[in-house]
Amino acid sequence: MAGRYRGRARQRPVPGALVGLLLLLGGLVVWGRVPPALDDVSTPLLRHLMLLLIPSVAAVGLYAGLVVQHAAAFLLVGTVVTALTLGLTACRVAVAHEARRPVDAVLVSGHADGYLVALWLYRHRSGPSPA
Amino acid sequence: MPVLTSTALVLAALALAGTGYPVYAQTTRVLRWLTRPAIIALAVPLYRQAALLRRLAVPLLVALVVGCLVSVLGTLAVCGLLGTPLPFALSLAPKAATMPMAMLATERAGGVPAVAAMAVVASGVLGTLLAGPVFRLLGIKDERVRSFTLGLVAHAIGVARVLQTDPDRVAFAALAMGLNGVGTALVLAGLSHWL
Repeated sequence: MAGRYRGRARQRPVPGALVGLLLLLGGLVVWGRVPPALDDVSTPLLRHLMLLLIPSVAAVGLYAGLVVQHAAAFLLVGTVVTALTLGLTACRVAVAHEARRPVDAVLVSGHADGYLVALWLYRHRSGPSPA
Repeated sequence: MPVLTSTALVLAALALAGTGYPVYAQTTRVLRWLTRPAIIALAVPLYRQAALLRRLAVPLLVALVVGCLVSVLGTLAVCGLLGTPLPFALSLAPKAATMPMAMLATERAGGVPAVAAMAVVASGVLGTLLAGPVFRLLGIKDERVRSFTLGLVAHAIGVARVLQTDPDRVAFAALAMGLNGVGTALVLAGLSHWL
């Protein structure tokens, strides 16, 4: 199933991985659950996602001069726009219910790093197994 | 973040060995290729978190659209005022998205993915630091609002912060991070046609 979605995604010329993500998400909504085979494929990929990014991040060595040259924009955007986004987003959320499901450990590991998973597992060590 | 320490080690090793970045890039292209299926796989956790969305779709999606647009358009506006070149501005624009999505979106829009990665880290650290004072200033006391906002603005670093301070409501932060990653990539893809 995973292969089918990915195959379809690769045939598209424009933003491949994003189209693939949305197709897979749509497929899961239609399917109504995550097939175990897809879990087997996606879990190791997500767990090592940050490792896969390192070669691309290392290219920053080539652009250090560029970042220094535009340091004012970098810092201003980092502080002013970030604070503005925080404020406006917080004002927009008028939430009524509380989260009942615990966060998915795979989600956290996919975006962040191993230590987050460790933290999550430590906090939920007596609870039900994640995912 | 471990990505930063690993990157620093890689750069130091390359400098010591006298190896140029193009050689390193060539030999690590398998890892680079694997990021695509890994990004597609992000749909799985996002689908699991979407259960939260069914009950609160309207307020959360409105907040997502506002946060996403303010972040991207605000960045482009500030860069426009400062006269920053467009490729650099496009590299800073997805700073609130999670790193893989930000790098993907930047590459597609014509920016520099590595600079986007630095902007993502800056947004995560500064967003987490600024969140407390901003919430106090605005009188935001609802922990769910704080959690969602932190996930949207400060991605994985914000989620980690919520895990420490309020683990029961971390699902809001995780959902916001996933949604904003997709939202930012879509907004940037749309904008790059215009700019």
